[in-house]
Amino acid sequence: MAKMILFELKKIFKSKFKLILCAFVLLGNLWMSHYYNVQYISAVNENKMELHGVEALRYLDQFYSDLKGTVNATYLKDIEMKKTEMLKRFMDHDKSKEVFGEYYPMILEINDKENLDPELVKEIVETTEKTCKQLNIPFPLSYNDDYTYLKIDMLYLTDYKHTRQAFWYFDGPLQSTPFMQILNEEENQKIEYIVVNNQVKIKDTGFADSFWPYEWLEKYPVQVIDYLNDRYENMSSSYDSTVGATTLFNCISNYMIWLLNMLLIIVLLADVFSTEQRHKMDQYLACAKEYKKITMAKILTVLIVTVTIFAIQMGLLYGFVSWIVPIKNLDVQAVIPNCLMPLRRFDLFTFKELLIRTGITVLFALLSVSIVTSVLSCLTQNRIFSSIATMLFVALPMVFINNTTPFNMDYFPFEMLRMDTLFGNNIRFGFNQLICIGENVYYKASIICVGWVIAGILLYLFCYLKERRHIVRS
Amino acid sequence: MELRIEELTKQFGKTVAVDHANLSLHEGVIGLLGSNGSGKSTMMKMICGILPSNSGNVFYENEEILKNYDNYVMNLGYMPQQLGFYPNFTVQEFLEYMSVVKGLKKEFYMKKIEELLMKLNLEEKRKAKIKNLSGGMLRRVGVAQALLNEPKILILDEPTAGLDPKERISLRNMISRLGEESIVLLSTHIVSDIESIADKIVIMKKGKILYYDTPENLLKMMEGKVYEVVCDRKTAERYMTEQIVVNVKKHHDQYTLRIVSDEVIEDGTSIEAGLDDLYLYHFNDEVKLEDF
Repeated sequence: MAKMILFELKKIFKSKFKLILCAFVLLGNLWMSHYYNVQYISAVNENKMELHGVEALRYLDQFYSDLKGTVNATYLKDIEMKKTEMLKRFMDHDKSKEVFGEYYPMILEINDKENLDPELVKEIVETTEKTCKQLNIPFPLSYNDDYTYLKIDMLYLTDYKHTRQAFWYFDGPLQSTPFMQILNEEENQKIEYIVVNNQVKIKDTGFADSFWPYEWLEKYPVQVIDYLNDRYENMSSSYDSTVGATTLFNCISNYMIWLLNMLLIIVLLADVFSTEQRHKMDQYLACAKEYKKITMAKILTVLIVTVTIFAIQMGLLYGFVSWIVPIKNLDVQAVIPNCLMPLRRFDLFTFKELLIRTGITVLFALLSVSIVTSVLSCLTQNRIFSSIATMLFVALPMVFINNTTPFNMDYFPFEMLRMDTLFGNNIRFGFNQLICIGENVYYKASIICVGWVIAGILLYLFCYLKERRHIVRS
Repeated sequence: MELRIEELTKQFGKTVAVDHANLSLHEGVIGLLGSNGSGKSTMMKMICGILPSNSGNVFYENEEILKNYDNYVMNLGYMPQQLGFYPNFTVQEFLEYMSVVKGLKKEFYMKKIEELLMKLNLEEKRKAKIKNLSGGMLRRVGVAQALLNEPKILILDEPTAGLDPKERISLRNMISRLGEESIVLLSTHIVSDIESIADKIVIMKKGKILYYDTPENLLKMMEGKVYEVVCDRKTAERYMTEQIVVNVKKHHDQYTLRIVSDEVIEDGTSIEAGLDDLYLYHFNDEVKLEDF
């Protein structure tokens, strides 16, 4: 069997065109990773020098490493002091004094804290607003409706970009919810619920407040809520630099990279079952003793090619990122530093879990494409038709983006690739859905992967039966 | 050793490609003669078991071949009319692949490949990609793959097409030797290919087996039907329209014609018949002038 697989691989890779295409896609994806996930990163160092791309990532890794520690009351207090020091260093004090007047030292102290004196905050806001109108400059404060929270927008620095970086630095580890809540060992933010007539009624959304809305939580059975609470309680409370892990995750979750790999797989495998008829080899093979093994060898080759392409691509991405910045701290909570990718957080996962889950889903998306391509190749005995049909199969969900789909698209490989729908706090309806079967809780992504395993076995069984003897059609 | 065909029939739509064929083949070279579309290739595919018949069976050593097909194919070598290859494989790779799918052991097939490459004069081309080989070389590779498993039944569908005279003679000699121990069934349009080596000849026409006998017996049937006539141009033209003319030679103003005819040619001399005469006698109605 090993020899047959080797020959099947030769049939595929003996073509110069296919080899060049492989190199083009795999290396092209590295360029794309750099373009989308590295090039746009910028940071400002202590000397107010603006850094970009690789340099910025290396600087940020060092910066966040300096903030590492276990998030507890002491850590938060230390960070608060560091933050004030940083603010003082970055702020344009002359301009700020002009805007905030006598309140300036006070603002520096109370900045980004909750439960402030509403009277004081209201007074600061009104005075500053008046001054800004007189000076004809934008209003630089954020506050809440009941005047219990105040935050400086830090507009008054010599360079706006520098301010923005400083703002981001402190928005990372000290976001008010849910990261701090989860990591702060002294806080208890579990989801509270009661069961009425076998229905879950949520009393307090707890840590899930910002990413699982109330109405969605109530749709889940008790087991799911317990599962979420359990994960919350067991999360790591250490904070450290996850710049490398985040960059790797960003590269892996770039669906364009995997879409190109899908197209590569389609081109490589569209001829896998039809090559014999195309080259008139079917008449030789039909009267060969090991004929039945050829089909099995082809099926295994399809799986090997797909897994190898996935492994090479993952290896290249890992090598590329680790060349830029060390990939470390995979066991800490997957909170992505905001300057690398704002608006995304994966609070209930460690980076290791996130990378493994994302990787497995991508692998199954690629496998689903290779299964469909090879089965169509077997069914139609035509490489052009099988490749076009698979491409349409991959592209179909794109037609329905932002529209109501006629049927569930989650099982389509393109949807499986769209990593921003995975476990993220902004998407609650796709793979992030938790499904309860019996007493056990499963992620929808896992169910979809298992679904493809079953579909693959059935489709290949069909291929095996079809490719029995008497295949000569000419 | 016996390969028996009983009432073998194959129909494609309304066309009957093979019509109730019956044959009993034993060791030796059996030439299969017939014009295009006479059903030779179809019958060969059915003998190989790769094309199902509409009715009838093929038996090897009194056992229906499809009942123990794995055992049957171990004794079978087949070279189809339309040669197929993986164009990017080298000759060596192709033969190794065919050996693997035939279930041969590595120690055996590596030696066998060496032997066949040498015998078929392909040694220098072992590393050449198949897509770069000439038509004649491709035929030789096709023959080589059929011989890899030292088959007891060798089915060769037009093996000499595209070969130069030297290659043809070399292959003929090889087939002749193989026929001492195996059943070799070979089809061809080139009558001279089987004339010297065939122990028996099958003549097929429109799916039916017309004759199956030794060349000597078949030629006996042609006794008194082949004439040589020396005549002028005008007479030659008349014979060419009225009779089956196998050959025409011109010498100055005289024409020497070789004629096959049931009628007595009065100004001709009766001569010994050959297989070309036999072929034309049976297939004259299907042979077009362009074939010459």
